[in-house]
Amino acid sequence: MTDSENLVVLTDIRLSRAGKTVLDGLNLTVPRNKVTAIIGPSGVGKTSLLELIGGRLKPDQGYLLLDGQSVPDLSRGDLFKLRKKLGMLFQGGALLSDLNVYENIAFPLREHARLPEPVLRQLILMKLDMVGLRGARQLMPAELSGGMTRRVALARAIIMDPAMVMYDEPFTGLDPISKAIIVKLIRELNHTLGMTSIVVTHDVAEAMQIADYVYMMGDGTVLASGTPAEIEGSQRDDVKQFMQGLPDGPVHFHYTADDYLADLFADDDRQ
Amino acid sequence: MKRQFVEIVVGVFVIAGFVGLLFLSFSVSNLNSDAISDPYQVSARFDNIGGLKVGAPVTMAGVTIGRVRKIALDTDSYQANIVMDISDEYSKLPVDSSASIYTQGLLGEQFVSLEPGGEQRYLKEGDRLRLTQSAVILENLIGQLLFNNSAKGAKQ
Amino acid sequence: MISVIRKTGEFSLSILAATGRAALLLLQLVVNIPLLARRHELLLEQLYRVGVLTLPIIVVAALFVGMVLALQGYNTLIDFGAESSLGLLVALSLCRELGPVLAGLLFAGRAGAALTAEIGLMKATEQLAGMEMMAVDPVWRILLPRFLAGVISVPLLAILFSAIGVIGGYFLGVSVLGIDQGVFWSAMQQGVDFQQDVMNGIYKSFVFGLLISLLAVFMGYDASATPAGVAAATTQTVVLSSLIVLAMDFSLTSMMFSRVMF
Repeated sequence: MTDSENLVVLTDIRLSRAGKTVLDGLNLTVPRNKVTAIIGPSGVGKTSLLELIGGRLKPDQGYLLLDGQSVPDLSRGDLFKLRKKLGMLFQGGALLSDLNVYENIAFPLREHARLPEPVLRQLILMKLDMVGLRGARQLMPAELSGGMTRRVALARAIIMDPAMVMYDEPFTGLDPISKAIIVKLIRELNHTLGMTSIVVTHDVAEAMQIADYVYMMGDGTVLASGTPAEIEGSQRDDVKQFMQGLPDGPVHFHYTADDYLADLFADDDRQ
Repeated sequence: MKRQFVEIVVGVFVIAGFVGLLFLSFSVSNLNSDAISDPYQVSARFDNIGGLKVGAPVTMAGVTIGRVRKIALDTDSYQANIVMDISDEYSKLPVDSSASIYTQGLLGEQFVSLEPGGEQRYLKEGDRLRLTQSAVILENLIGQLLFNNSAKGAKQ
Repeated sequence: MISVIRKTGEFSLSILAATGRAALLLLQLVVNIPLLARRHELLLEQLYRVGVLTLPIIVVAALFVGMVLALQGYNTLIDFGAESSLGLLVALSLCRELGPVLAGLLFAGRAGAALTAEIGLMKATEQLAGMEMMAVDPVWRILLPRFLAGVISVPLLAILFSAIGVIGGYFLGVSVLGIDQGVFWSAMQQGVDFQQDVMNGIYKSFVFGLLISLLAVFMGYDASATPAGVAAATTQTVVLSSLIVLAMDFSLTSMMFSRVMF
């Protein structure tokens, strides 16, 4: 049964990795044709969330519906079919290092569609133009700057005109100009191509700029959700600490440790 | 262009491999000499075949004319029965030819040597050679030597 | 004391688990062969990178090994007056043992290590994950061409090793040591059996190729996605491949060259 309003629905998700519970009691919906931002401190499980939606991880408990299909229950073949409708932008770009920019973007098309070369070329050049890198198409990934790599990866993610694109930390490590470019691209592409976008990031300012809806994560679950205005106006301590960038608060400054004086005056680390 | 280069070079590699295989087959191993053209089979019985093996050459006057095809024990006569493939190039072998087992060199492989007889009738498929001489067994030779020596010693 | 036992147990279990994963990967690879049928260029590219580029080291090594065999063999055979069998000695040593084994070892060191490093790095830089998310299975797109290229290349390289080694032995034996040319070849041809010696050697090299290639792609695919992890996987490929080749060589030799005739 397809939800006409929400493309992705996560219900009561519980996920553990390497013995630790990463997500617990997570509920989240991603509305269609909108940009949804998922923000939160590092290590809170945001990337794991994307891996769940993409079918690379299976939850211990809970339901995950993507366009009406339960992702964890899909067979390998069906999962691969589903992934053709998704685009993913990895944190490092994940471009294939022995192909140049043009061939990297051509990769999904060559694998999944039988198109004559001239048509292929036009599609690739159009997408490259959208991200402003049409002139860089002969460069190798090693020759690209961080920002350019992300833009190429973005062009590759949208080359098959996916229904949904997931962005894993798209702004991290970029200079202000490149950041602004990515912000512009995410917003415009979502609008122009009628896609649904999920942006996972800890860059609060950028997230607020582009999101239609925001989820703030912490403690393995959703702490707060709402429009950017609602989140900014939230009175919750944990939300305020993150939004205002305070060093200490509900997310502690100190990593769990023994009593300070006892530790200092002990002769060595007890086993 | 790069693609063509790769194709050509890989082709060369594979062909080189096959050439190497041909070299190993024909110049290094006994492949071509092993085949006997259109053989006819002849058998012979020996008291002792020594170390004779299947595939050993069958010669006459030193020329290889065939190969040993099968070795078995004949349970009626308790003799070794061997079957030989003789090349049909040599179809005029007298029926009273004899077969002996010799050793190549001093310690080499054993082979069957045929000595022609005098009859005008010739061997054909399925015939059996009547006259045979068994292989020389080294231990028997040594035993004989010791026996002779001790006999000589006793005489004196 | 207990921790030593526990660690040994954990280690053994992890080896078993890894072997199981490797076997499953082999199954996956075989099942995916039809998918590669339409994409010959992938296999071709890998045959070049894995097979052709290992040729130089094979050729050079084979020449030296052949020459050393001739030299050492001559030194020993001359004491028995059997130097006319030098050609036979060189050919049998190469075809039965040294060709397959040394080609396998050299391949593992040069191509096996390169494959593991390449695949491990692709895993570490999320290229494999990226491919999965683009609905392309890296098992058939990346691993299978490299695996098949190894399986095809190693027997070819072993044949070439034996052939070139014999030529090296011929050069040293006849031109340098003065063995009669005719005697060199005829003693060899009489004594080297095609099925027993040449083909058995090729069967061996096929088994080696299969094991080394599987190990190389598996170690890369299974490596930890860190620099240390990839480095460890690469060295393990070389070490394990070498040990497996030598162990399988013993096992195959005892099966193929036993003195029991039926």
